[in-house]
This record gives sequence, structure tokens and C-alpha cells, in this order.
Amino acid sequence: MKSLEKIIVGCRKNKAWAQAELFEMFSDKMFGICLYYSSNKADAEDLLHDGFLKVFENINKYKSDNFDAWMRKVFVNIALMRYRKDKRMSTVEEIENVKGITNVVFENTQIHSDELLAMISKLPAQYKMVFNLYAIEGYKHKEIGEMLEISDSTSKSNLSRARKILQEQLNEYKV
Amino acid sequence: MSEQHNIDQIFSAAAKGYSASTPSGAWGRMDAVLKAKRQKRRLTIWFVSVGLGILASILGLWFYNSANNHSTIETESNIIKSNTTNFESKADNANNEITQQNITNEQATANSLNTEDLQNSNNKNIEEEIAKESIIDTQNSDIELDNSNKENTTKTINKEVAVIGLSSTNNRLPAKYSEENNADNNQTEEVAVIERVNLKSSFGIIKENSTENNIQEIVATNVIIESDSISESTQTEKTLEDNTIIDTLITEEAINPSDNVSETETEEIQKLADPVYIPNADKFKMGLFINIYAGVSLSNGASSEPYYTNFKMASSPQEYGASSPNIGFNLGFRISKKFSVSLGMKRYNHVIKGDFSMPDKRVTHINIDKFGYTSLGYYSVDNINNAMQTKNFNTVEYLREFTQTKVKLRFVEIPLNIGYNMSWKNWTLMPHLGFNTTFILSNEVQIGDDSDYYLYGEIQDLRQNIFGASAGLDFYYNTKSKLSFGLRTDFVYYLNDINTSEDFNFRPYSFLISPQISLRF
Repeated sequence: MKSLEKIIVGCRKNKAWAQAELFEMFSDKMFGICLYYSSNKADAEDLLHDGFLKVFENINKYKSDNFDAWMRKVFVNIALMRYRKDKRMSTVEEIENVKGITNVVFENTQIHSDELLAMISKLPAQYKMVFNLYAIEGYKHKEIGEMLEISDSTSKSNLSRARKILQEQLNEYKV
Repeated sequence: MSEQHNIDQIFSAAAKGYSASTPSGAWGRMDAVLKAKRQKRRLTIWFVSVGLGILASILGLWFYNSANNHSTIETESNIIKSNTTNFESKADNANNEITQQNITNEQATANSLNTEDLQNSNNKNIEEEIAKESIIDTQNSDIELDNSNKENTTKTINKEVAVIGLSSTNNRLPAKYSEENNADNNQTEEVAVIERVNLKSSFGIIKENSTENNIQEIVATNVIIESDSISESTQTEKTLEDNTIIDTLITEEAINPSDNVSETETEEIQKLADPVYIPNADKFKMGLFINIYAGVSLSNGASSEPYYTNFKMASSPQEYGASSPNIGFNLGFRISKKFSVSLGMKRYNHVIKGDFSMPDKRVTHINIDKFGYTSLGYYSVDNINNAMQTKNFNTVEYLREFTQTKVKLRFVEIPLNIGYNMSWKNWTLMPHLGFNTTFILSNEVQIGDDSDYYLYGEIQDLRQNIFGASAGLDFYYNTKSKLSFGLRTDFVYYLNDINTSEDFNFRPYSFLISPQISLRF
């Protein structure tokens, strides 16, 4: 396996082997992000596809040191674009047959990351987007409002409701 | 609040470290799209390059032609203007009954010149008028001019023409016209003489369309009065009847241009008269040409064992050259009578075929990064995982199904050539030498069985561009128009190894043979 630097150089030259390497290196991680921002597995696959195409197209613009973070940002932006374009994300489908590899401890209870993902996926689309952008990506309400074309207060209220729903689900899980 | 913060932290920690196995087929889908994009990019580069080349050629030709035509048009315009004025004036003043009687219909108009005018203008105007109304008759052929005392003879134009000659009474006149003229007007000294003559002159044969004063082409040049060739008037009349188009020839001696026309004027007229005018017979006329060709390129394929042999993968030890189509053009410039230089663009693939083999007990793992090798270097195969998933084969068994490899290097070449022209009648033979700059657009390794290729990869560590020396031989058949048809052959030996790897050395060569069309300007 070649170094990431060499792979990026290869991708900038549009080399097939480099693109394959990059995909192999980051596809699992990016698919995880896609699942968080999608309502079902098929959407997540589409997002993964579009995300990588965007990465290959714009890899010349990458200048920072943290390639992982840059890729993540690209994928989140693609997810936002899709969200704005397609409001049908309100239909919640349970994500099945996805096998995650991390566990989180909540109040001395080990929760498999897949369970957490399932909880998020059950949120209404807008709540989910607000919660992800705020809690996971670290954006402010003002920024989220601009991204989702909603007001700051709507963003705050959506976040609050999302937290409440998730809290209830966590409590149920604990019980 | 802390509870909310706790929830955020739980999900944030889970999400940031979360990864899920990518669905099978995701890369295949991606790869198909990327391949199509790459193909589109290559096509775009190719079409843009060709488009720019053609545009440059057209612009070059346009500039060249406009620069050439500018002076000619100006001169022509002046002559037409003066000619028209002269003709109008002469028509008004025409009182030569002899001319009207004897030169009728179409033939008469251009030659119905007032004798006095002709005399007054010291024959200069006569020359101009006739010259202006004249058209070089390039269609009539097979007449040989046997007037061997013409100094300006440089090449032979075989033509048979009818000639109307204008001369003074000092010249020998057909008795009929002279008598009639004398009877009606003692001052009339002009006569139209029509004669069938054989011509041999470089400036030669001028055809006069006298039906209308509509000058189709101003070609007056070295007008020669054939004073010795005046024939009987009966013959003249017959010729007039037979020919609707009368060619005019006046000898230099008769009009005595040295007395009345300056050398510069004579040269200008000569230039107009002959599209291939050569002021000095030894001086070559420069010109552009464009060659367009499409044919077949044959490439070499040499097998070489890598020095570095401790990798355990499939290999392709036997390789041989193959053919592929090529297409290109050259924009050339004739710099002397014999030599021409040209710059062009050529697109072709250097194709190498090989027998794919997977040595027993040597394949211990599959590494798509360095999957196998050819004499060009290592290659990787991107879609092997995909293919194996599709076929559900054991890796080794799956690979053993394959027997063939094909390496396709996509070249765009900029050839700079110098050619030496050898002509014989309508044929031209042109040996040429050149220097080529070759850009390697992309490469592809294909692996498959007898019926198809299933795995696709790329040779690694190839150079972006290489240089080559070329030699070839073109031959053409030159048609009467500006087109030539022929065959182009070109052998290119590249001066660099195509790969940067230390373990492999591959220096390609190719032989091109293709039909060619050449357009001269």
C-alpha cells in the first residue's frame, strides 16, 4: 500500500490505481458518515458514490494537512446538498444490515454504535441534520440555519427536540 | 444541560469513530463512472488538439493567401478600371468600319479597336486592352508552340489556339483587311489576324473572351505578337467562324514594349497573367501544403525479464507488437524548389500484446498495486477484486483462466519533418527525416482470455513524454487541381525509454503506413 501522499498525487493526475487506493482506504469510514446522514442504506450508497466523485474532482483543491477532515467535510456538504434538494428524507427507514465496528459506553452500559446510528436514523430528517451538524460536526446554530435555510431559533428548537427523542431512546435501551 | 451535553458527546464519539463495510459493487460502480470520465477527458483533449491544429492550419493558410492576394487584387483593380475606361472611350469613338465589318459577333468586341487609338497610344494601350480581356487558356492542350525565337520561353505549354493579332501596317497584314481598310480609311492600319499557331511559351497562351466586356480573369502578361505567324485571310475567316472564343497572342517584338512599357509594368502584367509566374526561372515560389493521412501503425513488443524477480505475482513474459489505427496531418511549407518543412500532429496507440501466464507455486498473494509486469514495467489491476467477486472464483484458479494481455499506450505525436521533393511528370517522391515529440496520454493493461478482456490496469512509472527520430518516404500522384493522392510511410524510433523504472527498459519503435491526401496552396 502506498503512502497517502503518493495516492493523493496519483489522484490529482487522475490515475486509476490511485483512485482505487483512495477508495479502498477511506470508503468504510466515509460510508459510516453517509449512513449518519442518510435515511437508508441505498441513499447512503448513493451519497458515498457522489461523495467520492466529488473528492476525485476536487482533490486539486485540497491543501490542508488533515485529509481525513477534508474528505469528511466534502461528504457532509454533499449530504447537505442532497438534503436541500430532496426533502423526502422525512421518510424514516430503519437502516439494516449495516455492521459497525465501534461501541460507546453510556452510563456503564456498552452501546453498539449501530444502535446509536439506528436511533439517529429514526429522527425526523431536519432534526437529524441539525443534531448531526451541531453535535457531531460542531457547527453553530447560525451556520446550521444558513446551511439548512432555517432560522437560528428553528435550529435550536430542532436540536432540543432531537436530544429529547434520543434521550428517551437511550433510556429505553438502558432499561 | 449536562445531560444534553452528555448525549451530544455520546453520539459525537460514536459517529466520529464509526465506519461500516462498503457494500460490494460500490467500487465497480464508481470505477465505471471514472473510466467514462477519463475516456471523455481523453477524447476532449484529442478533439481540442486536433481542432486547434486545424484552426491553426486554416488561419495560417488564410493569412498566407490574403498576404499574397492583396497586391494582386490592387493591381487587378487598377487595370480593370483603366481597361473599362479605355474600352468605353474606344467604343464611343469607334469609327473603324473595317473592324466592324470583318470582326463580328463575340470576336469583334474586344478587338474592335480604333486604329488611331492604337497608334496614338503607341501600341501600349493595345497591349493592355488585349491583355486585360485575356484569359489564360489552361484547358486547351496539345498545341506546341514552335516559335523558337521567343526569349522568354521557360516551359512548354502545348496548346492550340486561335489568335487575334493586332499589328500596325508596318507588319504584314492580310491583304483583305488591308485593302478594305485602305478603301474606307487611309489611316486605318489595324487588322485582326486570326491564326492557328503552335505555341511554346511560358507566358503563353491567352484566351480572349470577347463576347462581353466581362473580364473573367485578368491575366495579361507577357503578350507576344506572333508576327511571323500571320496566315492567309481565308484561314483567318474560317477560324473566326469556328471559334467562339478567340485567343489572342501578340508578340513582344510587335508591340515593342521596351519602348513604351516600363520593366516594372511589364513584370506586373506578367504576374497577373500567370498564376505560377516566375520572374526569374530559377527563383522558386514558396507555398503551403497540408497532408492528411489515416492508416495503420505497427509497433514493437520486446520481452524482457525484469531484473527484480522476487515478487510473486502473475507475469507476462512473452510479448509481441501489434497494429493500431493512426490518423494525423502535417502542415508544410515549401522552402525551396526541392525542400519543404512540415509540422503536424499524429494520434495513435502503441499496442503490445502478450501471453499471460501465472507461474505455478509462485503466486502467493495478489497485490493490485504491482500485479504483474510487462517489458514496460509493473502494472496494477484495479478491478481484480470486483472481477473475482463477480466470478466467485478462487483467486489463483480465476487468474489461471486468463491467457492474454494487451498494453495500450495512447500517443499524441508532434512530428517536425524536412522533406526532399523529387518529381517526375505527375509523380512526386519525397523522402523525409524528422524529430518527434510524443506525449503519452494514458495507458491501459488488459488481461483476459481468448474471447475478451476482464481485468484492467495501468503500467506504473511511465514518462509523460518521449522523443523520437523518424524517417520515411512519401509518394504522390499530383492531379491537375491542387490535390495530390499518395502513400505515406514513416518509421519512428524513440530516443528515450518509455518507463522510468530501473528494472525495465523499453524503447519503442513504430512503423506507419497510410494513404494520404495533400492539398497545395
